[in-house]
Amino acid sequence: MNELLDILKDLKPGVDFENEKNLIDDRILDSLDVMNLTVELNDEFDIEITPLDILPENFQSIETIYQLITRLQEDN
Amino acid sequence: MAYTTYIYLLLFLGSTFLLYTVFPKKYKWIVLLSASYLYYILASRVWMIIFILLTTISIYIGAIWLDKINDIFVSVKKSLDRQQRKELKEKILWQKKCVVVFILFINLGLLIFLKYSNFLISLLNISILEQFQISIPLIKLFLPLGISFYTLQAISYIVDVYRGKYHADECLSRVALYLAFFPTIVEGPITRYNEVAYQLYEGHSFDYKNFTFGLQLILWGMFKKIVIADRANMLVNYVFDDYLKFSGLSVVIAIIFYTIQLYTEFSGCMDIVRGSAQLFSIRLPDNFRQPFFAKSINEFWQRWHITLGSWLRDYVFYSVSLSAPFKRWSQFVKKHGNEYVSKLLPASTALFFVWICNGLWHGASIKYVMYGMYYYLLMMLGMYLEPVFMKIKNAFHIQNQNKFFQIFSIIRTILIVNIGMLIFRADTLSSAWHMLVSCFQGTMDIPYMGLALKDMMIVIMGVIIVYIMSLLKEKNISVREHIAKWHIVPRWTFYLTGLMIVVIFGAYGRGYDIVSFIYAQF
Amino acid sequence: MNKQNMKNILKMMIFLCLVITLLHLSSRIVEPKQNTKESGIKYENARGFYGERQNSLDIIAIGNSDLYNAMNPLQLWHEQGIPSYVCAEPSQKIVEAYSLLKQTYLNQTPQLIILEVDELFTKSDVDDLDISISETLKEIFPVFDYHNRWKNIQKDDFIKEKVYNQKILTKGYKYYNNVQSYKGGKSYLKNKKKSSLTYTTQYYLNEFIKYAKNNGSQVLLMCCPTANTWTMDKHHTIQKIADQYQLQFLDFNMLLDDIDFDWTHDTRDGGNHLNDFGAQKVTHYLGNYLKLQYHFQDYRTHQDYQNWNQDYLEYHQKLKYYKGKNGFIGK
Repeated sequence: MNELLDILKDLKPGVDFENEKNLIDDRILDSLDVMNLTVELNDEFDIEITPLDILPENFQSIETIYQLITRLQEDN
Repeated sequence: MAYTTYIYLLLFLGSTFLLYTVFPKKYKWIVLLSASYLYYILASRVWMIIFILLTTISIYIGAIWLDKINDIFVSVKKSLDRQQRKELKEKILWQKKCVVVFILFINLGLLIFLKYSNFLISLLNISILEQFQISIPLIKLFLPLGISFYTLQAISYIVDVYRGKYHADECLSRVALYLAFFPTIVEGPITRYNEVAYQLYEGHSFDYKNFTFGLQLILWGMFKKIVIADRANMLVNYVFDDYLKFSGLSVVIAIIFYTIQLYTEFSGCMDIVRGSAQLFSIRLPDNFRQPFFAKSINEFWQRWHITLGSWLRDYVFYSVSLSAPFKRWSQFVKKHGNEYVSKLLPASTALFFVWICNGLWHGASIKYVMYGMYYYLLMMLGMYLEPVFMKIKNAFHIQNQNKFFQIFSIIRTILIVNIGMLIFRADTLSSAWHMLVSCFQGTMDIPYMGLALKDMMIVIMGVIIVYIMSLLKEKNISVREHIAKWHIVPRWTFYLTGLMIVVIFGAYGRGYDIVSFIYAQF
Repeated sequence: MNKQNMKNILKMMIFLCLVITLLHLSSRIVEPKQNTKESGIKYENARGFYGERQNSLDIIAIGNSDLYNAMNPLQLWHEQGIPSYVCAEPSQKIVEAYSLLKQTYLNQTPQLIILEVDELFTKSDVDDLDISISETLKEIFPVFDYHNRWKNIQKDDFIKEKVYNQKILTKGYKYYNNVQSYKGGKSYLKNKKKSSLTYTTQYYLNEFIKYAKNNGSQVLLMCCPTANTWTMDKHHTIQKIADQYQLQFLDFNMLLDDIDFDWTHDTRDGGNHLNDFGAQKVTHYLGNYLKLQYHFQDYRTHQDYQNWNQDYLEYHQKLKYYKGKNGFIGK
């Protein structure tokens, strides 16, 4: 989780990722950020995020992103 | 049969609505499907319907095929050990890939052949064959109505099934209706299967609120299209057709008027389309979200032609950026480049494909490719120079929340968009350049520009009304809901005034040319 | 049906009534109060029949621009003594011809209606239907026709009743004297063009003929020489219709040699429209034909028609000084 938080803070400094619950709906993350994030996550956690996983609900908050990562790790 | 004609609004939409209302709930989709095919035949040629039928059947069968392959995997999955499972999974994935590529090949191939073959031939002629003194003759082709729109919808369906977002639909009529639904066939919005198909297919009984809201939306769209856009069109044509005669302020006015025209026309058409669908209690996605309040180009394109933007994001941007070769490329950049570049280079590569597609989608010519590249380069500029901008901002202690800075950003965006529109409208790139330069030369005089002063005033007043409405919407105030709560006398006065404004100030009939929708050509 | 639905339907009805009232009121304001261009009529030369004495015209000819460049009522008067009027508008469609026909019976009882048939060949039913809906709306609510008059509305428009009594000197004919040759001779008749009539056109043609006959008029189908639209196939189509309704069909494209027509000299725009030289030939032949076929009375010496003789003289007087380019109709 902390690892993820670091990545996010690196990606978009100044955002309160611990408490934001609507990253996509509030347009804090756009498609470029999501793409950069997936590239980063793929590397860092050794998972494979596919276009299918890029749904707004998966990227709304740090918790949902974390859930996505754990789900993909289990799949592997 | 454009959406602003009497025959569409009074006869076609009216009778479809009546039939839809009286048909039993279970069979209402039959009314919509037959109306859609009838519309297609009436608005184009009878035999052209073959193309949309071909697309419909190909994606219908393709999607079921993909699901069948998946089913085999699921049914035998349990009996296999880990290693075998992995092997089978790869094999299945390969099979699925073959199917989806085959279906895409048919549909994209058709689109590319019909829309782009002459462009490709002329490129080939100019670049290579000219040196050998030979040339391939151009082919005379008909472009089926709405092919650029329904093909994108077809692709989104088949790719979503391939990605496993949802299952293939067993119901052929639902797939057919999704592609051919008559309000969306000519200019979009480009809808998604999971958002719209079931709404279209299930019967909705008459709903008074939806009915009245639908009519209001149509009226609002008519206001934008025939009061503002068709009027602005006269000035735009007058100047652009003879641009060498104008310079200075008059060119600036013409460019702004074209931006006004394109926005009011396209968004007006979308209102008529969404209003038409709402009569049947069908909600279509929004295609515009007050684009001229955007503070950056990026934001502008999230507010302008939204359904095209999101389609390009989901099926071009993510497909490219999450593909295997691309991942290798970004890892390569990461290893060899510095941190700054490695962060930006992958995204800029993926975006390149998005903007090439965006440009080409609008038309098969160099001009439209340049139109796409114009926005691409500006976005890249913004991305790569962001540290510089940050430094400047810090030096002047400008906060993003600063009101003046926000207004400055909005105006800057509008300026950039206007130049983009100029490229879009001008006949060639060189005439666009000529006009852009002539903005800064010549006089401040305003000669006659094909539009009487009184008409000019109507356009300006119309724009003010549109601006106020957008401002309210930007502040999350739903004007329609608000007015619906008014007392009946002011409320009806408002509606009746709106109707009479369209009837009296509409630029239709004697003295005005009927203007066909610009986006219907794509 | 429950109470709420009843209430809603009632509301819609009342709303519709209000819309109709508003359209009607605004129509009365913007409707031209005189049959002139200045008052807002777009094609005033097609509507000068209002200014003619009640029931004085024997022939009303209706058609598109081909007609007002080919048939000259004053020449017809001078040669045969038949009072006629040309109600022709640029790119008129049969629906519009039909509504113009109905207007002419308001103050005239013509024995013969001439319909110029070039306008019958339209692109598609969809377009025709759209025009017919638009025309119906315009008939009921003229605001759809004259809405653009908001720009120059005056106080009179609110208080005055409409009075149509303006005459057109040329009786609907448009005089041009410039020459721009067409060099193809008679070859245009072999061109291949869509030569079938749409269902909408057939319907309105039937209504048109029925209406004229019910009002005691005969109908003559006519086609002026026109090189850029007419073909042999179209001729056959119209001939079939003429046979079906037992009407006469006079196609000048088949009579080019009989009237000594010269495409290099008698057209003003390369074969689309005739100039006065062409019109003289067509009108002369038409006059003899009408005399022979229909036995019209010769009014040249009739005391009620002396103003026609004056109009003829005035027309030729004015032509001597006419040097314009836009077509002379005189008022």
